[in-house]
Amino acid sequence: MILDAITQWIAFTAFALIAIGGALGMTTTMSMFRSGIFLMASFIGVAGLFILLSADLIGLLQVMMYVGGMLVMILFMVLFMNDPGGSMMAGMDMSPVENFFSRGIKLMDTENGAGHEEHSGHSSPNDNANGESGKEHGMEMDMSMTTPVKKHAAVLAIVVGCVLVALLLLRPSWPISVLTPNPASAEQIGTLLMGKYMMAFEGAGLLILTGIFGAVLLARPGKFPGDASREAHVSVDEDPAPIADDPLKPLGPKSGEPREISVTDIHRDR
Amino acid sequence: MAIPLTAYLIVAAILFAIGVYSVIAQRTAVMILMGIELLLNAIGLNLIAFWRYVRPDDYSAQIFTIIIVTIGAVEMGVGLAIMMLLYRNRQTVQVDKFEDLKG
Amino acid sequence: MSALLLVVPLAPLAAALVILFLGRKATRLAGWINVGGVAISLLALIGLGGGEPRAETVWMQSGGLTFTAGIALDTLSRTIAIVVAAVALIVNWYSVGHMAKATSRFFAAMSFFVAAMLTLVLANSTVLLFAAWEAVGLASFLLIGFHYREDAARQAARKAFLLTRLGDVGLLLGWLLALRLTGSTDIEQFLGIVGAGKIAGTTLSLLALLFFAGAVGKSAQLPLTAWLPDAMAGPTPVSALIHSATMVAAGVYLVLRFFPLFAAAPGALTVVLWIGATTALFAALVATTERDLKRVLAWSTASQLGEMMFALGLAGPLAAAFHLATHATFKSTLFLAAGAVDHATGTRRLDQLGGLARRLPITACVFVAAALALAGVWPLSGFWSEDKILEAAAARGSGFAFYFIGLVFLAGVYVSRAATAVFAKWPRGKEPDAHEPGASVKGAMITLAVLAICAGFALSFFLESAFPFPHGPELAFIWKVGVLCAALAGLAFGGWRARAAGPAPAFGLNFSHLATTLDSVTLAPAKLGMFAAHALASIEQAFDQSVRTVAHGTLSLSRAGDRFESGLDHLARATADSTMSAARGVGAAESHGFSDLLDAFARLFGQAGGQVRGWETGKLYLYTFGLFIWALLAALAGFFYWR
Repeated sequence: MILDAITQWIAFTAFALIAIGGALGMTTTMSMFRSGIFLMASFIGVAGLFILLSADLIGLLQVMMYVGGMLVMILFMVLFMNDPGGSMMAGMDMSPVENFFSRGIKLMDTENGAGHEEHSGHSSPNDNANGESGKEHGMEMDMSMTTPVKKHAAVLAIVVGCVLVALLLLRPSWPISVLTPNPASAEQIGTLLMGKYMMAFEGAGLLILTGIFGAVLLARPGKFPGDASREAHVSVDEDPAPIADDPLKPLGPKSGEPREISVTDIHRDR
Repeated sequence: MAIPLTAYLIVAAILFAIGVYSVIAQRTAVMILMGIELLLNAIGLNLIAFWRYVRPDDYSAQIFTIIIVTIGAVEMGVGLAIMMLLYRNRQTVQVDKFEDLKG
Repeated sequence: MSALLLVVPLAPLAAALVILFLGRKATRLAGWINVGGVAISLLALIGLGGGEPRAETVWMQSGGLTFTAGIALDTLSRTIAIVVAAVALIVNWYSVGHMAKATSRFFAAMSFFVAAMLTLVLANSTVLLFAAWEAVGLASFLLIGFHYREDAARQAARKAFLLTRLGDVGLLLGWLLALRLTGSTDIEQFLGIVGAGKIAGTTLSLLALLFFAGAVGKSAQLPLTAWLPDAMAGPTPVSALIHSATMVAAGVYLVLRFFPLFAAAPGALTVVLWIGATTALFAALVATTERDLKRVLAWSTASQLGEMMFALGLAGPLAAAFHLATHATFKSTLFLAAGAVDHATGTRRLDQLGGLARRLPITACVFVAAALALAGVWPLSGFWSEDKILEAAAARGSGFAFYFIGLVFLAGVYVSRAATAVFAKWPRGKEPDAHEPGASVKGAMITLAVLAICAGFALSFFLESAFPFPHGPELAFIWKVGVLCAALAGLAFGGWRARAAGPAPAFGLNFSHLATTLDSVTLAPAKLGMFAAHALASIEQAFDQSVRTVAHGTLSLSRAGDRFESGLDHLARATADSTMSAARGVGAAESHGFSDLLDAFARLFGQAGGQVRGWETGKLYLYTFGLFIWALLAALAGFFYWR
């Protein structure tokens, strides 16, 4: 596939923008669902760049694995959570980038709690400045996308990006090969996988198998407290038998039977 | 080959920086996992770019990329399973709620 | 035959046991059991006839020594046993009446004595003989002290026991030496060895003297005579049976039994002769001075026993044995009569008695008959046996014969004096109120008196069969007349003195000092012993003092040791205290120095830890933030390093 330079540049710019913009949107939007969609866009951009680099198989693999497999999983997970749409965060104080990517997200209805409005109004002025306070009364901040170190993180990310770019620019150029890769690279890769990198391939297979087992074991409805019924019966220890000639009276109420506290009770208290 | 190698590398660097931000700044475990995926993607892009421009005759780079993708998939699966478990137990995936080891 | 022989000593022993078993109250029955036991013995002896049965066994064997125990009947022992049994039977018969008020203990002791005496007579071995010898001594002790509540009886019993023990030591040593020499306790074997001349002359003399020492103690020869008069503190039947007829005659019997030994040791026989002669004279003289009827008879007994020893010393065992038998009869009779007098009047003192012939005619007749027998008047029994003694003396020499005639004269004097003082009409006119004793007493007395009259005459026809000793040469008739005259003269003199001077000593008071002298002489060893004991006491005291001194020294030494110890203790205490204070100082340094220092360190580390702990926020994003900063710096460093 020989494209002329212009076409190449256009394609490169487009894929690069899609990849970078997707990534930026993924990390800045308030809605987790949107994050997933943005991430898919970013993956697709990168896949385009792979194809542009003559790595057709890897590009295809990128689309199939990430976009078709993992992202579905991520989105399923996101939908599984509270507030995947980020409607609770809509009223938050946001940077311009965030505002851009979070556009269109409606504030959640507040019929179920008058305190929500107050709190929201309350916390608005010092939300970013004081992460501690946000964390303190963070019932409504439960699904917040940001951390108290968001600004530092941004600075660090920018520094990292600048350093890397600067390194790339400062470093003397690599010896560029003029060879053209074999268009039937898939065959070469298959031969390599089954030959030279046999052990790595098998190791990767074993890794996947172990991962699947581990995931199934972790996620299955099992004997963990609060699993299917979502009710953890925490058994509070019985009061120990009184010590003979104990000069101190045992503290607390004298209850002969262990109290049972269910997680749902706690949740209801919230 | 109109596009220089450095352009790809700069794109990968930007993606990496965004991934770094995402991993640090996000609070939700799912989002952190997404950031990690972004980092892996940037690395993969780096590998492929170097392969294309430095050693196009050796396909080992592509093999490495495939393995990185594989590891990413496994990591995502296990991570999501852990997260599901955490969510079941704690009704949240906010990572700063998981501070039992705080000193 | 052997079984019948065993009955002889065992019947009285069984009687003793039965009496003991019956208890102390059955006195009358006990007396008759006593008589019965002796009667069985006598019947058994008569039933045995002329046989010579023996019942012996080996008691034990130790090394080369053989201890046999057995009894045997031979000519001598049969005669003596019959005499003993007969006299015992009659005296026991007498006792039934005389001792009617005594406890049965008396009869048990009497039976025991008869058993022991018969065993002594029949014994075939020295060890059994010695055992019986000691048993009769025990019986004697028990019976002398029968009235143990009386001080005199207790003292007399003790005296008799101790003095006879002195002689018994000799007997013990004697038979042990014999055992050592022959290896056996069998008497016949021993005498056979002696007769064969296998033992040296000196040893024979020693043996004979040792045996004779036992005989001296038992037969109250000088110097161990003093116990016999005191033994009269016992009941009269005891005096009659034990201290006149049988036990005291055991000494003579012992010498008779071992006469072959004495015959083989002429030196010892000479000693026997002189001791017997001295005793006979001494005791006869004392007997003329005594004022107590029984004591007169006791001294008379000692004198008569001395005459027997005299006969033995003159190598006339036949005469001695004969006189032993006759003396047993008439002396017992005298004692029984004296007992009857004592019983009737309540006293035995010659100066309080007198004129009893009319009140107690039978007793008087019996006494007079026995007295004449004692004096040796023809044809009473004493005449025949004294005739034999005179025969032996005359065979040895005229001097001995005259000496013996003198003894006979003295015997007549003292017995006549006693009889006259008691029974003849007393010039003072006051006659004691008395009456004849009971039937059994009278019967016994008369029976024994008949024996005393006839025994000598009867026995003189059977001397060869009764005693296994050879005859001496026939005595000249003039000697017989002489001795009879001496006896009659003695009787007349005694009677005259008693009529004239009453109970006063027949030959003045001089001879009465003899008894006290004897007592003093006998007591001398005891006094010497006491003196030695006192001396020893002072030595003992000195020793004690020295021991005390040693003890005090030890005590003060231990006190010094104690002080030294306490000094050490104080030193140790001081060391401990100083160590303690040093430890306290170290402890203070520890607590205030090191401890505070370490506490400070601990606080420092604690605070530092608190600081460091703050870094561990548990926030994931902070960790990742740091991680990426580190990675960035590493990348920069690597870039600049490898550039």
